[in-house]
Amino acid sequence: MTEIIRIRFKTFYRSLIVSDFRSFIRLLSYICVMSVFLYFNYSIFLKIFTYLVKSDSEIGYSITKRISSIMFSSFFIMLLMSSIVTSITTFFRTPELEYLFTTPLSPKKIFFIKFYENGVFASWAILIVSIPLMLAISRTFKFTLSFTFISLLLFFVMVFIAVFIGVFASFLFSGFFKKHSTGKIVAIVAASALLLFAVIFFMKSSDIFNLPRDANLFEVEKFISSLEVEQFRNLPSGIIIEMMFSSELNRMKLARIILLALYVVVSLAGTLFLMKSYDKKYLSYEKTVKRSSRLKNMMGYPTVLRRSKIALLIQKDMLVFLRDPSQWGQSVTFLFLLLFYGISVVRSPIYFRSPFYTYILAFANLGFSTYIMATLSVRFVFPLISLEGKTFPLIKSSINMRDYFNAKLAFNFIVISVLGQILVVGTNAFLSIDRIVVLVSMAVTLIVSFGITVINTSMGAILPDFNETNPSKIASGFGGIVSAIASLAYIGLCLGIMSNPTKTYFEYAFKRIEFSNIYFLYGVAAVFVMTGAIFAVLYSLGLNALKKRSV
Amino acid sequence: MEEKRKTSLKIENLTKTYGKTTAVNDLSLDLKGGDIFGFIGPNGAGKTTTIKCIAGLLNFEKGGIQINERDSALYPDISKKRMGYVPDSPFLYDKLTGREFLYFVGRIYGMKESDVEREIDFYSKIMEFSDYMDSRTEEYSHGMKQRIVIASAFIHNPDILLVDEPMVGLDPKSGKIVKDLFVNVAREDRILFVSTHTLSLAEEMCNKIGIMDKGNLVYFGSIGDLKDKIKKNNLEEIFLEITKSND
Repeated sequence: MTEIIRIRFKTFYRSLIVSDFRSFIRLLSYICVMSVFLYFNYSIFLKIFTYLVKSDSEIGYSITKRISSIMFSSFFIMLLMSSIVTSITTFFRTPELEYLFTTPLSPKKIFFIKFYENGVFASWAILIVSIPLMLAISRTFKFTLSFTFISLLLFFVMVFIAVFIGVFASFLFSGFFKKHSTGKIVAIVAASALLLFAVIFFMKSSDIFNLPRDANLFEVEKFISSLEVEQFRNLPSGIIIEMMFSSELNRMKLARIILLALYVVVSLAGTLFLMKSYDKKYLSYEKTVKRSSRLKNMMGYPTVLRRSKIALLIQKDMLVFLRDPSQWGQSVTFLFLLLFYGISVVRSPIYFRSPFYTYILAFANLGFSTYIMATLSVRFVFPLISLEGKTFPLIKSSINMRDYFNAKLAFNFIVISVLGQILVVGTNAFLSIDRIVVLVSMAVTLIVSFGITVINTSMGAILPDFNETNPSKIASGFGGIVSAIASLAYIGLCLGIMSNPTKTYFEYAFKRIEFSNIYFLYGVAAVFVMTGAIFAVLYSLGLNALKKRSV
Repeated sequence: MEEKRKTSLKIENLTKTYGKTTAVNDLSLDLKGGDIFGFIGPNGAGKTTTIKCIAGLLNFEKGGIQINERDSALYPDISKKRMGYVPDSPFLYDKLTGREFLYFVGRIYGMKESDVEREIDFYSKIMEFSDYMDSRTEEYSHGMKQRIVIASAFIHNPDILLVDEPMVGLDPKSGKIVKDLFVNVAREDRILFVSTHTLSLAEEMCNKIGIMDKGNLVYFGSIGDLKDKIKKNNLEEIFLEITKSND
């Protein structure tokens, strides 16, 4: 077993070794993104908590605890979901397991290694978000170093319990899982999680910021008592957050500690039981995915499309997309999250309904929406040319590369711009913003959609990876990272240009000075010119790369 | 110390189903040390399923498998120790070198470090992979990977070797190296169970063949007997005739 653990470390170490320029850029960008993410997360939490505690220690303490509790409960639920999903792909029928099960290694040892692996895969992303939160709590309340250490230890207890429940669920439902493809299972788990989230979201209104500025004593007391009622206090996450906030152990109710100990004992016993039954579970897990019923030939339907090669290409892309659960599953998840985002903006707490915040919200919404568009483009637009894979020679030998490139650009632009417009115009309409701001947002979104599409489609042509079939891996590869950096830099520049007239507009609106729309026109024109320049350069580079690519 | 038993592989009435589909139906065969058994049949005939059942990778509904006169279901660890398995798509840890992978396999099978190193040297010479065995396997071609995987199945000196489609993607030189190794192995009183589509390989190398079609073993015996029975001299023609008659 030690040999397998050694291999894991060796693999991890070697995946970090920089062997070429591409790996170096990829590693560097990961380190940069991660450091920025950790630092900003930490400072945001710290600023919020410090502000809350300094403003009013009692309310501030309760809100800080409540925010932390909500965050930890979300982490626990996310851990559960990701543990279910990863355990399906970790414990059953992978090429490595097929190999290990032919060796004399005992299934219990294989289970142990896979359980550990599952924990790492399911929790690393959540750990990255949790560490800044735990450090911020520690700093705000000036807790000792041992507190941070204990918090981390408690976090791992939570991970263990969540991973056990996830693995247990996947063992329990393995009979169902083996009848369906992994993509479909992921889509089902994601849809169930979103449905659960939607039910909680719609049933429970956000109340922690909804204390009116002119509230009377009765309202304040009601508000404080409402903060103490936590929905998930009996989950391991709830108990752990309570332990973290109880600086002295005697303040903690013994019953809560016993409950956590019970969770741990049950998880340990359950893990041992799963370990014992693993070989039987593994051997009985044979994929019996039913053959899909005979599908109608959708290529060239309706008949008029058969004449155009470009239309056939777009149709092919759409069919492949719609028949691949890993693609449409992620898109549906994205769309749901966007829906929650839009509804959250509309249901924003009462403080943010004042004109000042509404304008800030409108501009922030533009920035956030364009950021989402860039993320979507890197994930879905950039890999499109790479996904042609081994069929690229067929395309190159039969279609003019300019037509091919134009078709990709046009189709991607339509999808991204429609999504962007819905996001920006929809939320702005709910916020009842001035018509001129709505129009400017629409124009900027349209131009930015085009710019992002050009960047990602061209980068997809310049830096394709025809050997990779997984679109997520293509997006997170060297080309995807370069494309993401270029897209974010472009958005940053666009927002930078637009921030100036927007700021002037807000100032004039508050001072009731008449504002000339020509300022906005200048801003939009500058964004337009910059996008045009990017188009001119990247379009020719992308097209030439396609023309020159030897197949 | 594990007692040395006579090398044998006995399958009795093996039946394996996937839902309502019967992949292997009532299969029985008996092989002894020194046998090179060619398992042939069209795609989806049940060859890989049978091999996976023998390797302990699949449960089966009916029947039994005996490895060296021991029931493999009752003694899975001992059975696995006495077998080597080469799957149809080779598995290697891509961040390890070929040498590291072979070392890992040897240790998993409980070999001493010095023995593993000796065997690695031996197979690197006869299978001619010394030049690249210290590079990461992610840089290997399919043929290079296949040679390492085959060596990994031999490294612990198993009595029974299960090989699924060994010649796919191999160039003529690699094919020759692998073929020679197989023939030499059989001389050492071991059993070589080879599933293949390459009929010439079966004809050239195997003393026994089994023809699978739609989950049924439609012929088991020597190639000579089969030729006498069908009255044809070419194995390809015989194969097509047998599988056609089962359509």
